[in-house]
Amino acid sequence: MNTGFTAEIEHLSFAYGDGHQALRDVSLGIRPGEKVALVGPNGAGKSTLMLHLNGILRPNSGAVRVGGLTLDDKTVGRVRARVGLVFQDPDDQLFSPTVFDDVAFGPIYQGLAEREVRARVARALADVHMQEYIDRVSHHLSVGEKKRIAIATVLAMEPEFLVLDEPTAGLDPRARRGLITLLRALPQTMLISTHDLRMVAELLPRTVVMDGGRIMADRPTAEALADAALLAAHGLEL
Amino acid sequence: MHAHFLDPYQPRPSLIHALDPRVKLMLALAFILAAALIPIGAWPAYVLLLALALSVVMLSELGAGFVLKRSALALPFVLAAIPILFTAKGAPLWSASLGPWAIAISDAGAQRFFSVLLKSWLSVQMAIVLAASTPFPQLLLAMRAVRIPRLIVAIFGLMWRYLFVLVDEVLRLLRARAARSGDPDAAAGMGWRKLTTRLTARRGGTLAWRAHVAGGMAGNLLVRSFDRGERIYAAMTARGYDGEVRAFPLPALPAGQRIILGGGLALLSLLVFLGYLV
Repeated sequence: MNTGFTAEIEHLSFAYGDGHQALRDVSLGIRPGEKVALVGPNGAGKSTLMLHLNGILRPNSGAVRVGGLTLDDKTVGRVRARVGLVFQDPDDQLFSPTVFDDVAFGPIYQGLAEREVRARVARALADVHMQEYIDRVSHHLSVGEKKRIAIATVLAMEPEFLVLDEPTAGLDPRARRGLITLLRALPQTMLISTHDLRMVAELLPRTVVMDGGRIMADRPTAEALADAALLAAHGLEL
Repeated sequence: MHAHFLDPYQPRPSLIHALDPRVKLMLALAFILAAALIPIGAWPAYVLLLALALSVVMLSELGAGFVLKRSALALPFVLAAIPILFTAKGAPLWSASLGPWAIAISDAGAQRFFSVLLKSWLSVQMAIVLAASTPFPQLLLAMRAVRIPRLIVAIFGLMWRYLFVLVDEVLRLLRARAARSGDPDAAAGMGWRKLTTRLTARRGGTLAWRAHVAGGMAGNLLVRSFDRGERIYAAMTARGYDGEVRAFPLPALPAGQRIILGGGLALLSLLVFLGYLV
């Protein structure tokens, strides 16, 4: 079933094992090529929502569809190949001994031949301008370098949909600028969770505001950022 | 703040560094096996083994001092061999009596003890050269080549990767504690005020209190590591990890490296053989 959405979330509710209700009746559709910001205070449910897009968390009720596939036990592998999820802390994302091993991880698990894997690693590292880091050891990299490699680890899977959790957190202005330039050059559909509203204004034409596990607003970015009452109500600052 | 000092790898332009890691791992393991197999008291064979170990250390360009200093780490383990000195049967070399007990060092015991000492010291040196001349990721590949189960190799890899992250975290915690461990102004200077301050507010707190703080830090670290483990697993799952460890097949060993491996293994077998002859 193709609904014309890259990702579609319908009436998604989710509570963690400890009873904390993290998502309440969330519905959201993202069209191919769209670049969407997901903003809101800490604890609003942004990360929880992102983990659903990759099937790491499963809804208590409601449904998640990615690239026309409804996420369930049978489709989860194919959904993961379509969605590139980049975690906030690159030390969690980069778990292999070398940069090559890390970028090759996704393609190897897709069952690709060695030549294709090597080609994809080279391409993904070129996309983030880190070709010469291929044999480096992850713990010798700076935070900015790790963030770029973390993005390469999912680009190597050639996903149609990139989901990034706070990509600019903890970066100095130069590394942040480099990362924004990099994200601007990527053609994939994107959902970016962030507190960096200046980046949102620059990069992402659509803004979704979450608070208390609900979607509070879903508007063009210019309009959302101009609404001082909306920003104030959800603890956001430009 | 980065814990680079933990990485044993020392880049040098040496012949040993240039060897294929699989050859290095196999020869290092073979050396340790040979050292274990040479019989007790075969001193001529030990001298040859020592000469071999010294040549490898020299060839590696790591510096004899570097290897010797690190090999001292093995000394505490020698303690386990000390009872041999007293328990082996043989002619007594030295004896003493402690009240009702009499202890004696026998010649056989001394010979065994010094054999074990030398063998373990030489084996540790080889392990040090292996670790210092081979980047860890390559060592992991070599482990796969000698058929160590993939899951175990994968666990070694994760352990090595996160050891540094964890130690960085420990260093940050210690720094945060140090930053808030000040002395009150009154503790400086001389005289009555200093004395009263000392008596009423012990600097650094009591031992029990400090132990409490250290315990809290250790617990904190455990919880953080546990959370990190969960996040890493999520990151692996997100990229398709399904519980099975997959990797590329290893490239074939070049002919030159095979010859070195064969030569090394032959030399070590010869040493063991010599050990039984003398």
